[in-house]
Amino acid sequence: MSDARAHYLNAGHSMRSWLLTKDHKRIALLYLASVTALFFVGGSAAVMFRLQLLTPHGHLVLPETYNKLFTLHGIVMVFFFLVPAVPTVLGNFLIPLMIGAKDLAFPRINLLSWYLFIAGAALALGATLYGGVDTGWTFYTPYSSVFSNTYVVATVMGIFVAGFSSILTGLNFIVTIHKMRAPGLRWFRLPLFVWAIYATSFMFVLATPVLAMALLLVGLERVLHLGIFNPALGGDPLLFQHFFWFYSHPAVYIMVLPAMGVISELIPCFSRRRLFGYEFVVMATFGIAFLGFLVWGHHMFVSGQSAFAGLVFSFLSFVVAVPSAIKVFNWTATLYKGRIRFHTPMLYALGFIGLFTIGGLTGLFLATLGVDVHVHDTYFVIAHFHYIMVGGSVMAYLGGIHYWWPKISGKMYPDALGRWAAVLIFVGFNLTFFPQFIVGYLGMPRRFYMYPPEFQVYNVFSTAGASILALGYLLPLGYLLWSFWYGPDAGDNPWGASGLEWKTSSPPPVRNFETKPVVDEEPYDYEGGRYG
Amino acid sequence: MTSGPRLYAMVYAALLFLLGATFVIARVDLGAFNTVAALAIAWLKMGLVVAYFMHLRDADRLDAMLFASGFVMLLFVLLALTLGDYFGRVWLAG
Repeated sequence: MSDARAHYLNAGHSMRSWLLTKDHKRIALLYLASVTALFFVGGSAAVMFRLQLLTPHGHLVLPETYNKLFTLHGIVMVFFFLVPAVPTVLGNFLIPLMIGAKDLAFPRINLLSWYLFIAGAALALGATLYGGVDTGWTFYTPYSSVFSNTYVVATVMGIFVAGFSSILTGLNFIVTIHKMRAPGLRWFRLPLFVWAIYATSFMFVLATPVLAMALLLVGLERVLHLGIFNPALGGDPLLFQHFFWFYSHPAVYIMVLPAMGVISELIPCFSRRRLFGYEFVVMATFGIAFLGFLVWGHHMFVSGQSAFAGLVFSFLSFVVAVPSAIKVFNWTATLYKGRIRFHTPMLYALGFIGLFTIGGLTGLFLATLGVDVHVHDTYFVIAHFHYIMVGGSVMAYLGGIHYWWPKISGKMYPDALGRWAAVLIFVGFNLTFFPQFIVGYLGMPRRFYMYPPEFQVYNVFSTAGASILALGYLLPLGYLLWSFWYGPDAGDNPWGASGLEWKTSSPPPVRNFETKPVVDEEPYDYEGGRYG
Repeated sequence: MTSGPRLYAMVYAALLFLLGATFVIARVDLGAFNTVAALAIAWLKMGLVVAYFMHLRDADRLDAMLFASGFVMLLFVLLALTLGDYFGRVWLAG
């Protein structure tokens, strides 16, 4: 940071200037550091149980430890990485820049959200240090509320507290997008990333309270022995699953909608074309957000849910594939006759389209009542949702980080190394999870610490893939950190991209724009001659 | 028109009155109307809290939209589909 120009990174170097900052860009970096650390915590747990599964009767960890490891992996990755990652890091950094505002509507609440997130993570991880929790990330009752002899209450309280971080962040984004858009930035001129974060914010606000309530009830049943989910006390275990999945299925869309928003920025920029069917993509975003609330029962086809409800949820789950497919077709149509450039972010975007499509289509297998009876709770399910969450969300998150890194840091990373890492992640990911479709179809159930010897070959592939994947994730951590201090200056708009965030300097000044921007162009106007 | 602390005090008094009504109604057997009466009072309480304490009475369209969407989600989606499971267990046993 040797340049004399004032920007948000050199506006103060003390610890206090970071920990008490109200600048959305600095808060985004606080989130970036936190979710990255948590990602590697969750990843380490995965490395441990993949090593355990290398042999049919692995003796690396005890069965109880194995249960705690996959629980830790699930809780950290879902609640403390995938849900917050794109909205709090990229959303925080970019929403005000993309709409031409100087900050979010409520900067103090934004900082409070980060502290709530950290408090929640500290509670959940503290419980792990004390001995962990073994219920799985789903906390199914009555095991979690009556029988489990582990730190359930502390963990669910951690998720409860972090939930308020989500709710406040969602509120902040909704108000900001409504009230603080630059002159000329009409609704249908908004970048699709803003639309995606806007739809996601509604899901944060509407779904998270239900999870908070459900987890609180688990805590109350455990501590006060209220009969809510425990059948012995007149409760209903399936009621918990209704409450839990009423949040946790929309949470899948909380994880993937912002990711789709990132992809909708990358594809036009690196194809040099306006996004095909902009309005349809906006509508599909809201279609997914709404329909995502109506499909939770497909997690309970074999849990004792009524056959009638199963039929309804099966049908609704098929319907949600329509807006998702609209997006995939629109991205593909944007590529058609585009001038495609294979920079690092674009490789992640292309990887996303392929992997998300596989994840989405295998979701239809699972939405089919008869097929689900066969593959329910097998590795087929594990493979399916990792294609969505890792192949989809994590690929898009990394693509977004690489795309906006020059804006965030003002520096450029080595693009060739970036492309290698992207390919490594793509190969490692498929090697890890594709065999799990097969072994799941053949009948290997999830969450078991041992398995019959005939499944070993698939597990060896998986573990080998996981080690490639781990290397792939460490590479960007290394070269991005290196470039932050030693990389060459990136310039204000290295990709020749449209969008207000590229019209200010890199890194942006504290107030984002020297003069208030006025928007006079349609979004993604790459063919209008303005962007070369 | 009344406003400020006086208004809040009046709304609070009304809520306490309704709380009393809930208590009294619970001790009187109205047969099939037990639930109806309890829910009707609960709706009134909710309406007062939302309109006055949450200021929806003089809020703009954005706040009204947020409230309405939360209401639709909880009432019609969460309750209706969950009850679809509970009632459906009798319709299509299997």
